Amino acid sequence: MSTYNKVLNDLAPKKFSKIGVVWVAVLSVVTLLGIIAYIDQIINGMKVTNLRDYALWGVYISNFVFFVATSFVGAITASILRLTRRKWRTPLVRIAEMVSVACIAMAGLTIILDMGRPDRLHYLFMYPRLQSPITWDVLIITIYLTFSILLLYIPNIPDFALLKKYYQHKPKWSKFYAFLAINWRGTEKQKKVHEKTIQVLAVTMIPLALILQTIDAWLFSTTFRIGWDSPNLGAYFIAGAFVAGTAALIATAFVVRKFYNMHEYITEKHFDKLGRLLVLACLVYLYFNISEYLIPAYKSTQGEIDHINEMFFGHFAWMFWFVVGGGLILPAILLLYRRMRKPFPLFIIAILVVVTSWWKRYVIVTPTMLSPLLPKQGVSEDWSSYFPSLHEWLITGATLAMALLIITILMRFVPVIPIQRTLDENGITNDENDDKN
Amino acid sequence: MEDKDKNSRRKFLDSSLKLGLMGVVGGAIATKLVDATAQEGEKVKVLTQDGHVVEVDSNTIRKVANKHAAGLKKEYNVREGFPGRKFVMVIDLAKCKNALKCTEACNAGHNIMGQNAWLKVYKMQNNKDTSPYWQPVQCQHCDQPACVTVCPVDATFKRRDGIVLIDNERCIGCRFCMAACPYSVRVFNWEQPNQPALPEGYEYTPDHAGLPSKMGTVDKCDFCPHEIAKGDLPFCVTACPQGVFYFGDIYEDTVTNGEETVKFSKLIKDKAGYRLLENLGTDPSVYYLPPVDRLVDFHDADYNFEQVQYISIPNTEN
Amino acid sequence: MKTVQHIKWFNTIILLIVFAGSFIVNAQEEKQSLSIGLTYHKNVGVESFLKISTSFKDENGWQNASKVPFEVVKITQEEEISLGTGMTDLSGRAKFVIPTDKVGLENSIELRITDHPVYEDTAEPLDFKEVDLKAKLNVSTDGKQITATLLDMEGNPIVDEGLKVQVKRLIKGLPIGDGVYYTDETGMVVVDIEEDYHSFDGNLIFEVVLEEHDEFGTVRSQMHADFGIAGTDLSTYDKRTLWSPAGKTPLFFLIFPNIVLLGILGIFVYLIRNLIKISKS
Repeated sequence: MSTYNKVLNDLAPKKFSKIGVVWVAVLSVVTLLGIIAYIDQIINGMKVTNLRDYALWGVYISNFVFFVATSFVGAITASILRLTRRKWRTPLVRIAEMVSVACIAMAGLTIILDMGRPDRLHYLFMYPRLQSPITWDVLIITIYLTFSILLLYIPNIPDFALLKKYYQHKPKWSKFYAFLAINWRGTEKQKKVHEKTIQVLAVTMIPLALILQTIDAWLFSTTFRIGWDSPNLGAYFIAGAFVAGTAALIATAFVVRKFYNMHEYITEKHFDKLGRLLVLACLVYLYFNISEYLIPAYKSTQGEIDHINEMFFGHFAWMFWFVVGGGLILPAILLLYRRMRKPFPLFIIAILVVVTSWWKRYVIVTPTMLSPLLPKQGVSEDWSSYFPSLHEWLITGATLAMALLIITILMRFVPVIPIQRTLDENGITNDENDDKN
Repeated sequence: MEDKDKNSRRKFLDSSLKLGLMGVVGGAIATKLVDATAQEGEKVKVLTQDGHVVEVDSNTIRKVANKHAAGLKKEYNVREGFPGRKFVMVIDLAKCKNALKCTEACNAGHNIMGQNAWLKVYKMQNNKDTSPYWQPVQCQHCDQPACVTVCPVDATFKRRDGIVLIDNERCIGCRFCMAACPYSVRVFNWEQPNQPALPEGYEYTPDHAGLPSKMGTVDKCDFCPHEIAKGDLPFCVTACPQGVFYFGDIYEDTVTNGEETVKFSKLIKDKAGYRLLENLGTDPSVYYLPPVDRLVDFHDADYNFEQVQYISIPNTEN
Repeated sequence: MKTVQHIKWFNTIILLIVFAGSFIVNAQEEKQSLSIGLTYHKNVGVESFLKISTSFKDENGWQNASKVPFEVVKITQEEEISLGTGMTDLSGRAKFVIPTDKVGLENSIELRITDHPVYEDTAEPLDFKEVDLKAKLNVSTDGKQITATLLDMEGNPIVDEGLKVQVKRLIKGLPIGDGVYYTDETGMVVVDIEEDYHSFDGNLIFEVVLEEHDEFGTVRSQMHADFGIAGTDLSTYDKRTLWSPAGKTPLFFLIFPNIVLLGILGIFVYLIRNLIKISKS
């Protein structure tokens, strides 16, 4: 078998294996449970959550922040690594984009789940106030989603053309890919236009991604609340997105490599490089965490110091040290060792970082809500504390499952590794054409 | 023989006819009585002055067609408010004894259920060596309101007369205003509020908040524009037995608690009025007079305080 | 035979009683008894009116009697003159203006509520006398002064009566000086206005009020002035601020985000154009 055909065979999207079908089934069940819980929330009101007048934002908002942070990964790989000419990114860009698209779509959905009156969603577009950070958020998420989809689609066009031929024996698939390929024939003119388009898109993605993370942070730093009233928050969130995105990419790449047998394409070298990137991300984020937490602890401003004590020693201590210790310090130290940057250990560490990333957003949102500026009085005990209810967990699980489902379904018909680019970079051409010559 | 028979037959018919007639009339009277009790049995839930939800006969409720408050000019725009006025409130902490009549009246007048009180009386203590005191806190109707700034759909608005209101028909329930408010005065309707029925034909207006409250939207103190339109003081001002609340118009430089009417500028100057969380720059319209020369000893009133006490209107349903 | 006849008569009587009883039962439904507050108010030179409040007591306490129609009747020795009708509002209150020509020196009126389906027929009497309250505002370079005289309708001064001197404000009047002044032997009070008073447009209304007198009701004499200190408009309603509605967005928020959005739209159009170029070639 020629190398060309081998590459094509390896990278073309295949039918789901048995495990794949079970995976999709499980995700669908989890999603369904979440939908049922959400319908209950619509009918009976948000009383089914454990949100009350003090902790009025809870796990839905921390989900939202998590999804927004993780969607940064597209900008990292497709834009930053591209503009810094890191060639090793090639097999990873597609995966990164899929994760990015799935996460930003789920971010948009999650914020709707948190609305008290989702039936009035269109008011956001009919009566918008440009002074409100939520309006900015609506705008940037819509824009980022559009551009992310474009960033997933446009570089894939040559691959769709290849797949059109590859699936000639399956007319329906062939037609589908032909439609997506928009007459791509690989001519010089097309290649030029294509290359320019991707370049512009990649450059645009960086400010868009940075604006997205910043506006997300401004949802919090435009309030007076202790822990949120910090000018640091924009950069803090960007660094956090860097960590979450990279870790999500590593985890997804490992799974794809294993289940699609891509060991030749996503090599140990890639994991080594990604591991180093994660170390860098963790160190940068650690720096922001220090200025966010240690500096207020140095002073003893009334209100601030109570909040810090709650996080260091009090009710939220175990959570706080788990996310900072287990999610930042430990990975940063471990990943300095080459042995830890091998695929499997790195995968474990990446999963740990993703989980702690999620908890980190919880630690950002909930303790602040439970430290209002005036004392908590005049309400019953359950109003002064917060832990997500079953409904909230089910809906959270459903959004995570839906994100994974989107990624999985995307992988069903979009090649997870750029085919044409792999061929080009390795100098492999179509043997049949050569034969014709 | 026949005559006797005829007679007895006639008598039988006679008496039975009379009996039948009596039965019919008696039955009619009886049904009338039964009907009256059945009418009395048709009950409707209403709210009484002191905040109890009770059921009364539906025939004591008069159906009225109400166009919010009487006495307003036709050009009155709910989003603009009373022209030529700017409302201000002064709360004298030296007099407050945590009687909670203010909260009761506010809850009653706005059909506030459960723990959702808009006006709360806090037990405050500035530091461990100074004396604790009672501080009623409701929406401060700030002149630089953080809540209005962050609302994405213009559901909460600041009027010309200084009052900040919420349009519950517009609110999408994002709760950003609640996150932004540093005084924690906004409440959220987490479930369908089990409020008493409103008169037939009553139309919702932001001017009289809480009638009705809508599930999934935000509520807060409205400074009672519906009372001001009638020439009355807000519910809390009228209900306070100590005269703690003073209310008025800053252009007229006059505030009153129903009994005393004084110049506003003089009151806050003589008694060193201050505002809550002044350093945040929200510019509130509620001034506090420090708890000097207390009318009531704090610990005498301490019996009234429980950490989790709130004025609750019991749900009589379920 | 006679007993049978007795029984027959007895039966008919019972029947008649039952018949009559049915009418009585029909006619007699429980009606609420009303409690009526009725006071006389006179605004000198403007109008005279009655302040009416109706309420009833049920098992939950006092409730307002809304939308109750009533009639006001003036009773003289010769006749009863109807002064007009009215209806209470939602809070059970009403203001009934009495035409000035119908107000005599001494009046005996009655407020009547009749034939109401829910409330009992009620008649509330009120007797009041007219009184002559004259108030004047003197503004001169020496200062401002209010003089008021209280005389009865024959010109005799009413001595040692408390008159409230105040500035009319939104809800309650702002007392001037001590607030209440007592008429001297000539029925006069003199009050110096020493303080400055504020209002939105500089107009002030000063009032001398004889409050809730047993014979005369509440009599109020108003004086208009324009030396109030006008306030500057403190409202930001007309300005472009961070907290104004969408129609008054600050210019920065109108211009900058839209420029950015236009730029992004431009890039988007460029990308789509390129895609079309690729598909066309």
